[in-house]
Amino acid sequence: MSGYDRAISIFSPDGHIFQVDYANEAVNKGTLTLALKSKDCIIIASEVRSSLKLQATTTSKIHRLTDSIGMVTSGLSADARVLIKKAKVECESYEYNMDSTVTVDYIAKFVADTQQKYTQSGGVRPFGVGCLIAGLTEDGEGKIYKTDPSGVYQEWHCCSIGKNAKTVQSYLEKNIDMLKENKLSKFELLKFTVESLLEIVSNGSQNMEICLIDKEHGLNLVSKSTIDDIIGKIEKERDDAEKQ
Amino acid sequence: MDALFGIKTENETILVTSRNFARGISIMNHQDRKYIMISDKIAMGIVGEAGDTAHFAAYIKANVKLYENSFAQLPTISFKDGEVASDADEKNDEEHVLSTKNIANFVRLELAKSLRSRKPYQVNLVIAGADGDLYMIDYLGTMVKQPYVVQGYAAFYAMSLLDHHYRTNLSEEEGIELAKMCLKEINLRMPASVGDVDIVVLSKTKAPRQFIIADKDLRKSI
Repeated sequence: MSGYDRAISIFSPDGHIFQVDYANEAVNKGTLTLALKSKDCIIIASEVRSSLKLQATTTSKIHRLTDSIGMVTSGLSADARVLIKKAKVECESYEYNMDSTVTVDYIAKFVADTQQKYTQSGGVRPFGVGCLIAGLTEDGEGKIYKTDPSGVYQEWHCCSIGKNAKTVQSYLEKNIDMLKENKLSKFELLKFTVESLLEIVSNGSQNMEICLIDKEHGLNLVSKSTIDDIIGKIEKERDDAEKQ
Repeated sequence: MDALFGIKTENETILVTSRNFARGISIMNHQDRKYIMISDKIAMGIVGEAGDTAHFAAYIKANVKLYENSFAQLPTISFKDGEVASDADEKNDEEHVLSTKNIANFVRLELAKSLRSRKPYQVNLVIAGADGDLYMIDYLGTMVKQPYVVQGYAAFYAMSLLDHHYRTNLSEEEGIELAKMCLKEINLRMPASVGDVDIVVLSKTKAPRQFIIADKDLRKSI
């Protein structure tokens, strides 16, 4: 204990706010989430930890903000719930006031602003939550934003956060040229997402939640059977490659 | 003279709103829409002070949407041969959808709160639901649920007709005929005519139907 982590509004001499660093740690320990985009769609996906035997339902990690914007979080899920509620209220309130739906950058900035507020006021602690906010703009272009507990927000081509995010991130980086071309079809992007998740996630579709956003259908979860089919295909391809 | 009334038939709920927007002694607009669809199962007709109606309707709709969006589950899709194929067994998540009763009570509460504020909303409403519920709420927060409801001066003429002709087993066509009969009587007796009307038919089984009955057709048919 250095004494500089007793209150969030106190800097350590080397310029850190320890509570914010600790909150980032909570994000790095959270479930793995990622977001990817192609020419006409976005995919947000998350690892789902297995539920206990006696538990009735698992709660979805992916949330709808508007008909074309989704949000997924990593970190303390109780904090996430509150942050998501704030974002949803802002989306409705924006639409009520302006008579048009929010843009992805607006709501990403709003979430980041909210998170920042909780690093600079007394009597509160930061949200232990990192967010990926992804959606389509009016002309159908995909945008992906990442926020973290300090209130920083950036736009990404594709991004992953949470536990083992580094492994997935380096897998995405390996394929960045392909992703940047924006030429993958919905199904190809979905397959690539499953491949990326399989770097970390075991147990197949049971531990994955994948959401596809496109102009025609809005936000939709991809069914378990489809994910299983894709996993089967990937495994077969890998076996074939090994034989050769 | 705004007309706003609703009739519940055996399987449908019909909402009738007039399209004339009058200010003082002049009609300013013949295409005024005095109802909003809160969802595809619930319609809300609203008359009263010009700005209040639009503002209050938008406020109610935004709140209902916010509530439903904070519980809504995402639908699921599948892929077949690399193309999106929507699931056959689409689950309808009815659990977190607000009923007509829920919305009517929320509206009543908001009006009751507003009445005790510095500048209350001056709006009167009819809320019709596909589930067969039909509510009338006035700016004082009075709420009644009836098989047929009429707001405003039109009630003086329409109510006696509805009392006489109403049956619980009306078909959709008979319901619309009864609405036309009321409109004719209103046009005949009231100092100012109602003009064209918007009709919304909400059905338990079918998709909602919205159409216009023109004033001249109405006069021709009867």
